[in-house]
Amino acid sequence: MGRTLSNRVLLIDDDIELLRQMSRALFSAGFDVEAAPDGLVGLERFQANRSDLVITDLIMPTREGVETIVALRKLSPDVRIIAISGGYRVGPADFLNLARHVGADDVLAKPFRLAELVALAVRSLKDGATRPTA
Amino acid sequence: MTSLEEDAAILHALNNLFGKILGAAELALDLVDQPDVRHELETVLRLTEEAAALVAAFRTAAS
Repeated sequence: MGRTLSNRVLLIDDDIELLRQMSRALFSAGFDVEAAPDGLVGLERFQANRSDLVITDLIMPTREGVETIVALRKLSPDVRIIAISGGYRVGPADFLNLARHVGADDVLAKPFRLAELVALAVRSLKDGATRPTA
Repeated sequence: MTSLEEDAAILHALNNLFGKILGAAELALDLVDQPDVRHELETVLRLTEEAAALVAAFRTAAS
Protein backbone atom coordinates (compact mmCIF):
# COMPACT_ATOMS: atom_id res chain seq x y z
CA MET A 1 0.00 0.00 0.00
CA GLY A 2 1.41 3.39 -0.96
CA ARG A 3 1.42 6.63 0.97
CA THR A 4 -1.10 9.37 0.37
CA LEU A 5 0.25 12.05 -1.96
CA SER A 6 0.39 15.44 -0.24
CA ASN A 7 1.66 18.83 -1.33
CA ARG A 8 3.04 20.07 1.98
CA VAL A 9 6.72 21.02 1.69
CA LEU A 10 9.23 22.42 4.19
CA LEU A 11 12.09 24.47 2.70
CA ILE A 12 15.31 24.98 4.70
CA ASP A 13 17.98 27.39 3.44
CA ASP A 14 20.00 30.13 5.12
CA ASP A 15 19.96 32.22 1.92
CA ILE A 16 16.80 34.26 2.46
CA GLU A 17 16.56 35.48 -1.13
CA LEU A 18 16.79 31.96 -2.55
CA LEU A 19 14.36 30.77 0.11
CA ARG A 20 11.88 33.42 -1.08
CA GLN A 21 12.34 32.46 -4.72
CA MET A 22 11.94 28.73 -4.08
CA SER A 23 8.88 29.37 -1.88
CA ARG A 24 7.25 31.46 -4.57
CA ALA A 25 7.92 28.92 -7.34
CA LEU A 26 6.61 25.98 -5.28
CA PHE A 27 3.58 27.96 -4.08
CA SER A 28 2.77 28.90 -7.69
CA ALA A 29 2.98 25.20 -8.58
CA GLY A 30 0.35 24.39 -5.95
CA PHE A 31 2.47 23.39 -2.99
CA ASP A 32 1.67 24.34 0.61
CA VAL A 33 5.04 25.83 1.57
CA GLU A 34 6.67 26.43 4.93
CA ALA A 35 10.16 27.96 5.11
CA ALA A 36 12.95 27.91 7.68
CA PRO A 37 16.30 29.77 7.69
CA ASP A 38 18.38 26.94 9.19
CA GLY A 39 18.26 23.31 10.25
CA LEU A 40 17.44 24.07 13.86
CA VAL A 41 14.31 26.08 13.03
CA GLY A 42 13.49 23.62 10.25
CA LEU A 43 13.41 20.68 12.67
CA GLU A 44 11.25 22.66 15.10
CA ARG A 45 8.78 23.46 12.31
CA PHE A 46 8.80 19.87 11.07
CA GLN A 47 7.96 18.57 14.53
CA ALA A 48 5.18 21.14 14.93
CA ASN A 49 3.71 20.61 11.48
CA ARG A 50 4.89 17.52 9.59
CA SER A 51 5.55 17.81 5.88
CA ASP A 52 5.69 14.99 3.35
CA LEU A 53 8.65 16.62 1.61
CA VAL A 54 11.62 18.53 3.01
CA ILE A 55 14.01 20.42 0.73
CA THR A 56 17.18 21.36 2.61
CA ASP A 57 20.39 23.17 1.84
CA LEU A 58 23.52 21.44 3.15
CA ILE A 59 25.95 24.21 4.10
CA MET A 60 24.32 26.40 6.75
CA PRO A 61 25.78 28.17 9.78
CA THR A 62 23.23 26.88 12.29
CA ARG A 63 22.65 23.11 12.21
CA GLU A 64 23.91 22.20 8.77
CA GLY A 65 22.01 20.03 6.31
CA VAL A 66 23.57 16.58 6.77
CA GLU A 67 22.91 16.71 10.51
CA THR A 68 19.39 17.93 9.75
CA ILE A 69 18.75 15.02 7.36
CA VAL A 70 19.89 12.50 9.97
CA ALA A 71 17.54 14.06 12.55
CA LEU A 72 14.63 14.14 10.07
CA ARG A 73 15.13 10.45 9.24
CA LYS A 74 14.95 9.58 12.95
CA LEU A 75 11.73 11.58 13.31
CA SER A 76 10.11 10.28 10.16
CA PRO A 77 11.46 7.38 8.06
CA ASP A 78 8.85 8.10 5.36
CA VAL A 79 9.43 11.82 4.77
CA ARG A 80 10.82 12.58 1.32
CA ILE A 81 14.03 14.61 1.46
CA ILE A 82 15.71 16.58 -1.32
CA ALA A 83 19.20 17.94 -0.59
CA ILE A 84 20.44 21.02 -2.46
CA SER A 85 23.96 22.42 -2.41
CA GLY A 86 26.40 24.63 -4.25
CA GLY A 87 29.24 23.58 -1.99
CA TYR A 88 32.56 22.39 -3.33
CA ARG A 89 35.43 20.23 -2.32
CA VAL A 90 36.12 18.94 -5.78
CA GLY A 91 32.50 19.59 -6.73
CA PRO A 92 28.97 19.83 -5.30
CA ALA A 93 28.65 16.07 -5.77
CA ASP A 94 30.80 15.52 -2.65
CA PHE A 95 28.24 17.06 -0.34
CA LEU A 96 25.29 15.70 -2.28
CA ASN A 97 26.67 12.14 -2.21
CA LEU A 98 27.10 12.45 1.55
CA ALA A 99 23.50 13.69 1.80
CA ARG A 100 22.30 10.62 -0.12
CA HIS A 101 24.37 8.38 2.13
CA VAL A 102 22.67 9.72 5.28
CA GLY A 103 19.14 9.55 3.89
CA ALA A 104 18.30 12.12 1.19
CA ASP A 105 16.06 10.58 -1.49
CA ASP A 106 17.03 13.07 -4.20
CA VAL A 107 19.71 15.71 -4.67
CA LEU A 108 20.05 18.84 -6.80
CA ALA A 109 23.26 20.83 -7.35
CA LYS A 110 23.14 24.63 -7.25
CA PRO A 111 22.72 26.59 -9.38
CA PHE A 112 19.46 25.15 -10.71
CA ARG A 113 16.37 26.51 -12.42
CA LEU A 114 13.31 26.82 -10.20
CA ALA A 115 11.42 24.74 -12.78
CA GLU A 116 13.91 21.90 -12.13
CA LEU A 117 13.27 22.11 -8.40
CA VAL A 118 9.48 22.06 -8.86
CA ALA A 119 9.70 19.07 -11.25
CA LEU A 120 11.94 17.18 -8.81
CA ALA A 121 9.58 17.95 -5.90
CA VAL A 122 6.61 16.57 -7.85
CA ARG A 123 8.55 13.48 -8.91
CA SER A 124 9.92 12.85 -5.41
CA LEU A 125 6.46 12.96 -3.86
CA LYS A 126 5.10 10.63 -6.54
CA ASP A 127 7.98 8.20 -5.95
CA GLY A 128 7.24 8.32 -2.22
CA ALA A 129 3.54 7.73 -2.80
CA THR A 130 4.18 4.62 -4.86
CA ARG A 131 6.90 3.22 -2.60
CA PRO A 132 5.61 0.24 -0.56
CA THR A 133 5.51 0.89 3.16
CA ALA A 134 6.76 -1.64 5.73
CA MET B 1 41.87 29.04 5.81
CA THR B 2 43.91 27.22 3.11
CA SER B 3 43.82 28.31 -0.52
CA LEU B 4 41.77 25.19 -1.34
CA GLU B 5 39.22 26.14 1.33
CA GLU B 6 39.19 29.72 0.05
CA ASP B 7 38.53 28.45 -3.48
CA ALA B 8 35.71 26.26 -2.17
CA ALA B 9 34.14 29.18 -0.28
CA ILE B 10 34.30 31.44 -3.35
CA LEU B 11 32.81 28.75 -5.61
CA HIS B 12 30.04 28.12 -3.09
CA ALA B 13 29.24 31.84 -3.03
CA LEU B 14 29.30 32.03 -6.84
CA ASN B 15 26.95 29.07 -7.19
CA ASN B 16 24.54 30.67 -4.73
CA LEU B 17 24.67 33.94 -6.66
CA PHE B 18 24.10 32.22 -10.00
CA GLY B 19 21.15 30.37 -8.50
CA LYS B 20 19.52 33.60 -7.33
CA ILE B 21 20.05 35.30 -10.70
CA LEU B 22 18.42 32.32 -12.41
CA GLY B 23 15.57 32.39 -9.90
CA ALA B 24 14.93 36.11 -10.31
CA ALA B 25 14.90 35.81 -14.11
CA GLU B 26 12.57 32.79 -14.02
CA LEU B 27 10.12 34.51 -11.65
CA ALA B 28 10.22 37.66 -13.81
CA LEU B 29 9.43 35.56 -16.89
CA ASP B 30 6.19 34.54 -15.21
CA LEU B 31 5.22 38.22 -14.89
CA VAL B 32 5.74 39.53 -18.41
CA ASP B 33 4.20 38.83 -21.81
CA GLN B 34 6.20 41.26 -23.98
CA PRO B 35 8.35 39.18 -26.35
CA ASP B 36 11.33 41.54 -26.24
CA VAL B 37 11.43 41.53 -22.43
CA ARG B 38 11.03 37.76 -22.35
CA HIS B 39 13.87 37.43 -24.85
CA GLU B 40 16.18 39.49 -22.63
CA LEU B 41 15.25 37.47 -19.55
CA GLU B 42 15.87 34.24 -21.43
CA THR B 43 19.27 35.64 -22.38
CA VAL B 44 19.99 36.27 -18.69
CA LEU B 45 19.11 32.63 -17.96
CA ARG B 46 21.32 31.31 -20.77
CA LEU B 47 24.32 33.50 -19.92
CA THR B 48 24.08 32.72 -16.22
CA GLU B 49 24.12 29.00 -16.97
CA GLU B 50 27.13 29.55 -19.24
CA ALA B 51 28.92 31.41 -16.43
CA ALA B 52 28.11 28.60 -13.96
CA ALA B 53 29.48 26.02 -16.40
CA LEU B 54 32.68 28.05 -16.80
CA VAL B 55 33.16 28.19 -13.04
CA ALA B 56 32.64 24.42 -12.78
CA ALA B 57 35.14 23.84 -15.60
CA PHE B 58 37.66 26.15 -13.94
CA ARG B 59 37.39 24.25 -10.66
CA THR B 60 37.74 20.89 -12.39
CA ALA B 61 40.83 22.09 -14.25
CA ALA B 62 42.37 23.47 -11.05
CA SER B 63 41.86 20.29 -9.00
